[in-house]
Amino acid sequence: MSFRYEFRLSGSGGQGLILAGKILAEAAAIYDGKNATQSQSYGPEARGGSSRSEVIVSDEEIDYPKAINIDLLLCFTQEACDKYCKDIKDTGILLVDKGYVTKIPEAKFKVYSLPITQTAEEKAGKALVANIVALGIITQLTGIISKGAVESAILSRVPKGTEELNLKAFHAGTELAQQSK
Amino acid sequence: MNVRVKPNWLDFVDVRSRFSLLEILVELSRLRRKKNVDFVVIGALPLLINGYLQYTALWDIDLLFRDEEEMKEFTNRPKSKMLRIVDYDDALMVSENIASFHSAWTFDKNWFNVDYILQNELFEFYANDITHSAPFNSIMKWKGTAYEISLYMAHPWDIIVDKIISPRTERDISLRVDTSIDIRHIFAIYRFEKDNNAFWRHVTTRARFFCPMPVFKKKFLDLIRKAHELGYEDIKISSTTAQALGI
Repeated sequence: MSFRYEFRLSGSGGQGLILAGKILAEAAAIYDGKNATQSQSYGPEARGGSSRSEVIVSDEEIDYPKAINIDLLLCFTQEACDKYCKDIKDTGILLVDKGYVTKIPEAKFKVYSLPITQTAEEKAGKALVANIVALGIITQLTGIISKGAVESAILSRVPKGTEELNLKAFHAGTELAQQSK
Repeated sequence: MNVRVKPNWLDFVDVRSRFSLLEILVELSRLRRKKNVDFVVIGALPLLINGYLQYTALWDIDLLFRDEEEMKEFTNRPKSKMLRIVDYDDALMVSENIASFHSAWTFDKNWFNVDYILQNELFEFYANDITHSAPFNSIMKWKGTAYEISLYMAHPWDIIVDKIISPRTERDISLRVDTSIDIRHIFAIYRFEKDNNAFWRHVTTRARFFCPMPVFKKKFLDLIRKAHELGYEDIKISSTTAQALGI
């Protein structure tokens, strides 16, 4: 049976969400052989304003590249959560960073409120890799893209000197998701 | 010294996407005005085509326009019936000194992000260089078909100047964003060209478009000195670089 899975990664500029979206799409398309599209949108300021990346993954050709019914929404800010949670399918997933999003809407979809940035700081020693921790969580929770593909996509995007740090962040994310399931 | 071997850039495009990308580039070549520069291809694509980026990624096509009027005129030009365009944005996204509009184009069902960027000063910078030379012309062969591309493509050495000067790069350096795409591109070019006198002549001349030389020098050296912190190998400033920058 064919599938189409829609991710939306949202928050503010400077949180690495556009890059996370690119990594997710490249993992799916280049390393897992699926079809994928990735789009990006910024608010009024490239850093500090809103930032959004959407990734669509399918095992068939993608007829329409915009997200319609979100399967997984990641929110790094309360504003993003308030704005986009209405777009999640009933069977979808809302993933929020516990440190930034405190008001969770009541709905049918599954909610994971996890300490994403805190985990990045504690396990990888750097809050900036919170986007990579989030990729680990997303990979583990959804099972849509293989871990190996996401690892390969991360390694192709980061400088050699930061490979270990980024993989550590990714694995911290997969472990956090495993514990939360 | 790193010698830049220019492989076939199409090898770094996902095989399923090659047809659509080539068709889009041919369509853009058809759409560009013959007599004056109406848009310039900037970003990663000119670096890929010129052999500076040698890895497979999902590439975007960034088109730089002078202003909104030029962009609207371009979007209204009749396009191939085989081309499908979906706009990602509802309206032009305007920030302090740059505006952008995101769309996706395809000739089959493999979509490419085509981003329209509006910034008058940047346009003047790139177009000023391009008008002194011919458009980039190339015939790419793929599965027995020849694709004729003729586009105003940003000079890769101008791209490094733009990126070094960019406030976005400055912020990425100060926040130590080791996944910064701009910084990656700067080092990709520098790695190949650091001992090339012609490169330095070009860069130091072109940088003056944006700022006095000491400002450019400071920004560049700041980046080189922080290379290790950003996850790159320590970079020793070569004698050619030192001479070019008057260090």
